[in-house]
Amino acid sequence: MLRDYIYDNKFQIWIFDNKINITNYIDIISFSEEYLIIKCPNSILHIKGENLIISKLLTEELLIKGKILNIEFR
Amino acid sequence: MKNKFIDRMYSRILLEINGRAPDRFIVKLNKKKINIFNIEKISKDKVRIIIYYKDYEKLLKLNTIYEIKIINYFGIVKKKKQFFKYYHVILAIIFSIILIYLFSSIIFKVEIVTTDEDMKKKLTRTLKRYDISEYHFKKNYDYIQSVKEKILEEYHDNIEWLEIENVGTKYVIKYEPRIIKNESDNSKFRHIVAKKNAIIKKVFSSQGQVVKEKNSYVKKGEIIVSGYIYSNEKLKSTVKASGMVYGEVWYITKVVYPFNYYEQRKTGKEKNIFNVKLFNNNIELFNFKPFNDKIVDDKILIRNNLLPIMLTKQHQEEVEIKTGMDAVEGTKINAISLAYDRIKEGLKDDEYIIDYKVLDSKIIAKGVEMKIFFSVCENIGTYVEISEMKEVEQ
Repeated sequence: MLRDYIYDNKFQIWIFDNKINITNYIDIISFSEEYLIIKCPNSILHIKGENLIISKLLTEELLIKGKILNIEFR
Repeated sequence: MKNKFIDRMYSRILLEINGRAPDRFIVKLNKKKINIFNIEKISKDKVRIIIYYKDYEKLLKLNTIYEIKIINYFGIVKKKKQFFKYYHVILAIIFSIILIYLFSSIIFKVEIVTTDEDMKKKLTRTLKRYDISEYHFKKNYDYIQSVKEKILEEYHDNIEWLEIENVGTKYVIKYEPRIIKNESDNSKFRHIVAKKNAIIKKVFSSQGQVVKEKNSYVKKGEIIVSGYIYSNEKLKSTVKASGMVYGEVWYITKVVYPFNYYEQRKTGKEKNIFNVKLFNNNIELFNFKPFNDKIVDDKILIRNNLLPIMLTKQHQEEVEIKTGMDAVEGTKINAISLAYDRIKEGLKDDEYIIDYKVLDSKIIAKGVEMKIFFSVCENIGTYVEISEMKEVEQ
């Protein structure tokens, strides 16, 4: 925990009205305007929505904008 | 997230990616560790992204089928690009600033406020020696002070006080001449003698014995007011004679006056114009019908203390200039007037010309040659120290 705090390695997800901010993800598996699959440290994140756009795409951070309908960890 | 502050220091670039499915290319960039700060979808085949400027080369290497266009720069690289885009303007501004600084640091005029031409020449030479002259750089306060001290030391007997003032691009030198009272003169006994042959007209004596009558003829060196005071042919005391003696003296002058004449007559036409003065050049503004010959009265409206440029309002009066040959009689009058002026120039305020007479007049090739006799009333007295002291008789 402390290690994650110091190195800022913790996987985090912030959900807002029309955007989602994800930090310390591993990879983008699939990407379309309706569906987004992201590989996270312990699971796979599935985001379902309309007009989804990756607004910011950094090596450790991701900002997705659009109408979010469903978020699911598998 | 990490090193957010350092991230801000890097320059960024806005790119437009045009091609089929640009999203795939963006994901590919992400996999190659290229950070994308903003993704804006313009259309299905067109997106705009912001990346680090340092990643641009890497992006170009990864590019396969996409058309990539630079839209804008952010950060230091933008300033750099702007500088190179407007470098000639920036250079011109820098050059102008240097030029203004240079011009305002140069002295264009050194003005010595005095009527003593001899002293003016001497001071000009001395100032030149200390590099305070036209078209030289201005000097700092300490240097000016040291020059002032040196000049005061050098001209100890002539200058009481000196000021070197910097007014814009000129130095104004003001000084107070030193008046040294000759104390030794006061203590010595003296006579007043004639300094030239003359007929005495007026004698004002505050001390001493007047030994010559009015209208009497005196030769050069003859005593007029004596320092010896006699009573009943006995020397009673010796004094320092003082006073003024005016006598009639005579001069003969020879003048040659040419037949040429010059006449300037006002036509009555006049106007007011605005004029720009740059160094010694006049640029008249909106003066569509300039006068050929004119009398100009300048009134300064705007003056620049740094540059030798000023805006003036000029009142111009047109004049007609006539030159040509004068008649003999006119030339003779001019010749007499010239001789009269020459004699008058040498006289002081209390001295005057009594009369004149033309002795000889002849016409030569150049003009008229005249010999004129002048009788003048002038101060003929001068002080002579009494060298041999006589014993006072009781």
